Amino acid sequence: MQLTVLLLAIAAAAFAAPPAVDTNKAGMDSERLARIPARMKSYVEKGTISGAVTLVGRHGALASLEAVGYQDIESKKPMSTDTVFQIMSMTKPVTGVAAMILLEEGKLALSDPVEKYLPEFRGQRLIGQRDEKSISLKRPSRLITVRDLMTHTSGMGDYPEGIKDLAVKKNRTLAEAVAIVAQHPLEFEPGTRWLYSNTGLNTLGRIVEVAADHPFDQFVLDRICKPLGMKDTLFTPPPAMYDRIATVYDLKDGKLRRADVDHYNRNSKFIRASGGLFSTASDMARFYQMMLNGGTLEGQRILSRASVEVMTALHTGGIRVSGPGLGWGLTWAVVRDAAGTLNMQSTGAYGHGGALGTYGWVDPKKDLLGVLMIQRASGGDAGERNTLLELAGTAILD
Amino acid sequence: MPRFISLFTAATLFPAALFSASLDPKIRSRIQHYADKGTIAGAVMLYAKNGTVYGPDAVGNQELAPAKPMRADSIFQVMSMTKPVTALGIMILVEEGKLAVSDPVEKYLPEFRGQMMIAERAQTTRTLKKPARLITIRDLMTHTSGMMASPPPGVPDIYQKLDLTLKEAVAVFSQHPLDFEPGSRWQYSNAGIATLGRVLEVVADQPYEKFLEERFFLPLGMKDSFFFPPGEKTGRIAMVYTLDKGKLVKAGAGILGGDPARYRKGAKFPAPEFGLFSTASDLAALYQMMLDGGTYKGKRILSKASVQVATALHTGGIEPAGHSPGMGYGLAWTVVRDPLGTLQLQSKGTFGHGGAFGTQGWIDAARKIVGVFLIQRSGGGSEESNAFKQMVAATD
Repeated sequence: MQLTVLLLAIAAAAFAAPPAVDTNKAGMDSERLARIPARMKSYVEKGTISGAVTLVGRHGALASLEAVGYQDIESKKPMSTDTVFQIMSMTKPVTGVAAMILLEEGKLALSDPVEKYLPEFRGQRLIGQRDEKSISLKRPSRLITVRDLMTHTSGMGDYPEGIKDLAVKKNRTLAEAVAIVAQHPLEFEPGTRWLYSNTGLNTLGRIVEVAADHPFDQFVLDRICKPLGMKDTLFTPPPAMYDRIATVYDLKDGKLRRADVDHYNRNSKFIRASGGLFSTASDMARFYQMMLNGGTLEGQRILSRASVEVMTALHTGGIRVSGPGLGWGLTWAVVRDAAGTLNMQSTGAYGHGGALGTYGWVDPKKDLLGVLMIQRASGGDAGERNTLLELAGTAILD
Repeated sequence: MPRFISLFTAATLFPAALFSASLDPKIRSRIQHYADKGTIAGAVMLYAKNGTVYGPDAVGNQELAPAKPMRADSIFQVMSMTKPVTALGIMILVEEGKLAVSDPVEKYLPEFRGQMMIAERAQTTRTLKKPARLITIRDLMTHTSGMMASPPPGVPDIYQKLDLTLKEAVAVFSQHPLDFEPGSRWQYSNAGIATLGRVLEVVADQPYEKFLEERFFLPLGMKDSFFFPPGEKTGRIAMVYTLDKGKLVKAGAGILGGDPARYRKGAKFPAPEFGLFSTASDLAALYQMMLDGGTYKGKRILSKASVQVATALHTGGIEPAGHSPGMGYGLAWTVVRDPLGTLQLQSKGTFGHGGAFGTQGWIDAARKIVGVFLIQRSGGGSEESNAFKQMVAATD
């Protein structure tokens, strides 16, 4: 009896304790890794970011986890390694994994037309020509598919004028928002171009909801966050979590000002499959480690190896995407040419950023993963992200 | 003693209490003839003239097999006769200063912002442009907004399945281009009246059907009027039939509102364009209120001004503006603009509305006549209701 209690206590302690840094196992240079918080601190001092949490993992070990600066400047609350961030579009690969889970249950296929799950897409048209005064519509040569949504090649455009303020008002459900965007014409023939599409990713989230017959956020929590132990990853943070959530800033005229955004996603009807998650660096590292491990983490299989491979393969061929050297997998940005991205990632590395400056990536060739958490809504550049990529990549010893 | 006083007071206050009488036997036997011939399963009829109500009287059956006789209080899906009721709900909000009939729809439903219009339509292409002006509440009420005639291809079965909320359905409708410049033509638009119902819901900050219940059905004593049938009343609901090679067969799930025998089980959509269930007596109360300038048994339901503007001709010279010649549109009421066009012996200015299952209701203010004719047949023309209308007019 007493032994059981003791064992349980040990087990609980093992779960609660943050993973220890082990640079040896990671095969990384601890002095070089120490450049990461130092460099981030200089950004804080320069005033381009309020603070940052950085994480680097390699060979399944934690190589570096650092917090610098402030979670909230006004109250001088220091940034902590378990500070919670709005990860915005870093949500997209999580939505992608949710879709792959359903694929593995035989509940959807990547080549399926979207309208198979969402009949409101029937009769969708395509913009043939557009000038100042008129738009001419025609029928697209084929229906948009689940894959088109995941690779941003469906041609689905931005939110229509009637619901432009949806992301601010959050006054419609995912189902309502998708039914509305479904009524709008495509910007180009499906599969012929790349256009980053939040409406497309929300459509994917809605497909997950319909195919799983389960609310999207609940499905993500039950099937991804809980089994992976991502205990601080969710769409609707409880008030008890508010004091751990980092304040969002705008960088304007060289000064950081508190951004006029809802920091807690309060009173929201809208579960954003395109970017609604709150998370921590450690939680996202667990998600990326699962990908790096070929779909499992600590004995929990989330995805098959086959799914991980197809998700992270290059799907966009030679189509131009957001930046040089990049292509798109299924909801992941994929490095197709390391000499194009120029930030020490291997060809085949994949990851995703978020609108508030966050970034996470997985580099299978280097057996490396990394997470950058900052909260800056506007006014910055990719400096912090490039710093982390470069310093992590150049700290590898073996 | 106190009881005596209250009765006395009531009698003094409501001197216009209606008398009832039975239907003219000639009318009854003519409609009975249709039931015997098998073009209708049954009918309930009622008319009121100068304060006397004739009927309601029932002929034939509420359900054919097993035979269940039609009752004077049988309940009907009155379909598009719902439309004027939705519009009257809007008039109440006008009287409360909460909206204006001339307001753009997007003032209340921002999802309408950026609405386009079809400028040209070819076989496989269409060209869109911005309409010259925004659509208004009145455009919706008069069917001149240009909003689509039938639901878009993405939700083609919304009117059978009723599986979207009013909010969801109207959000979908709102994203589609108009068929013509607002106010320039007339095109019967169910989506437009659904939108009107959604405007009511948003401005009243109350579910559509709840608002109508509180503002009309309760004060008018319309005790058998509702959008979602309560279980204890389904036994009085008349079955819907269609004519198949001259024979009446039970309508299935393909009709508006879906399988009539399922009584809208699980439905989310109240259908401000066709959702109302009602009886002859209930509708007669509503129509009598309209005839009496907005009051009913001493209670004011609507202002005289609202009744006048709602039943005036709003479509001017637009032709066609209705389903038959000589018709025009008021605020979701059909209005007789030329009795020599409609040829049904109704006075100019007679207003009313029909329903897809053969029902008809009208108010002939010049002759002080209210008429209600209820059958439940999907398709099959209007011979029976026309006969009733003409015979009622001929009693004058």
